[in-house]
Amino acid sequence: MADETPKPDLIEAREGLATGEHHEVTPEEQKARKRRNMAIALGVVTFIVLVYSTTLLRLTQNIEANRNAETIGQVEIP
Amino acid sequence: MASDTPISPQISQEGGATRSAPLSYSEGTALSLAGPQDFFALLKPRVMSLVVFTTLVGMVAAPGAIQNWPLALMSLFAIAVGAGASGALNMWWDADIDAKMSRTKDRPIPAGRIPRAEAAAFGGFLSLLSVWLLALTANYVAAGLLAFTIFFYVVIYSIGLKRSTPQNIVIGGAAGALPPVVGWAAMTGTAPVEAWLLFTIIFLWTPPHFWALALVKSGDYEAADVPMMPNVRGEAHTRRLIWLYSLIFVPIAISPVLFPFAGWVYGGVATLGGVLFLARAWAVYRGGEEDRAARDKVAMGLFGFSIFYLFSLFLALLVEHWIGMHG
Repeated sequence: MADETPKPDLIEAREGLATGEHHEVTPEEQKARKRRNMAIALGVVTFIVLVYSTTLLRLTQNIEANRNAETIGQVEIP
Repeated sequence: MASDTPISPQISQEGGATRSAPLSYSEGTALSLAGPQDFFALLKPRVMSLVVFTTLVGMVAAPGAIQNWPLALMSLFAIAVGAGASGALNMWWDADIDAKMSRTKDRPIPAGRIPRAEAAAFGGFLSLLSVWLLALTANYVAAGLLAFTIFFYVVIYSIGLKRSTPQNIVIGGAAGALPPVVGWAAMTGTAPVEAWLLFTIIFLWTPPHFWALALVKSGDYEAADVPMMPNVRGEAHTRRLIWLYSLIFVPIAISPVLFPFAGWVYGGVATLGGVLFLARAWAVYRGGEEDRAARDKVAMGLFGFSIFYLFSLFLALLVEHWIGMHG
C-alpha cells in the first residue's frame, strides 16, 4: 500500500511552485512519445479529411436531389 | 485551496475505479512507453473485423443498391471505430479480471503498458467521435443505434451483467448482434424486421458459441470470479443449454429464405451448415461421459465451427447481393 500522505513537492506543484523535481527522459520514452505523437497527428489528419469529404459528398448529394426535384416539378407543372 | 488536502485518493482512483491498486509516487514520474500498437490493441481488432463484416452485410442486404459508396465506407469506418471504442471501455472496466485469465493477461492494461485512465479516456473519446461521425455520414437512426450498442456493451454487459449472472452472455449478446441493424439503418434510415432477423441470428448464435469456449476455459473464469454457466450451474446443465439453444438457433438461421433479401444460395449454406452445427452441438451434449481431453476437443470443435458457420451465413448473403441475385 502506497503512503497516502501528500508529498511536499507535489503540494508545491499544486500550488504552482517549483518542485525541484526532475525526470530524465530515456531514449525509449522519447521514441515512444514520438510514435504516439505521430499516431495522433495521423488521426487528426484522417479526421479532417473524413469531415471535409463527408461535407462535400453530402452537399453534392443534396444539390443533385434538389435539381431532380426541380426537374420533376417542371415536368409536372406545364 | 488548502494545502493539506490529501491527493492520494485521486491518484489511487486512476481509471475511475476504486478497485485498482494505488499507484506509488515514483510510478507517476516516468513517461509512458506505450506505442500506437498498444492503443490499437485496446480496440480489439479481431472483434472489430467481425463487426465490420456483419455491418457490411447489413448495409448490402438493405433494399436498394448502395447509392454512395464513399459515404457508405465512411459510415462503416465510423461503426468500426464505435466497436473499437466499446472494446477499449470494456478493457478499462475488466482490467482486474483480464489480469487473472491466461487468454487476456497480455492485454495492454494488465500488462502495464497503458494506465486504466488513459484507456477510459481513449474509449470514451472514440465513442463520442464515432457516433457523431455516423450521424454526419449516415443518419440519426444509425447513430442512435450505434450509441445504444456501445452503451449496452459497456454499461449493461461489462459493468452490469458480466460479474453478476450466468446469463451474462445471453443478454450481453445483444451488443454483438446489433451491428447489422446499424448497417441496415445507415443505408435506409430504418430498422425493419429483416434487419432484426439478422440481429436474432447472431443473438441466438452467441450462447452456444461462448458456452462451448466456457466449458474448456471454466478454470480461467473460476479464477477470475466470472459467473459463467459451467461454473455456476455445472457442465451437464451447460451442455443441455447448448443443445437447446442450437435447436432454436438453426431454424432461425435458415428463416431469412422466407424474406426477399435472402435466396437459395443462402438457404443451401444455412441448411447444410445448420445440420453440421446441430451434429456438433449434439456431440457436446452427449460428450459428458468422455475424458476431459476428449470433451474439450468436442467443445472446441463446436466453438470453431460456430465461427465458420456464422461467417458462411453472412458471406452467402454478401455474395448473393454482390452478384445481383436480388436486383
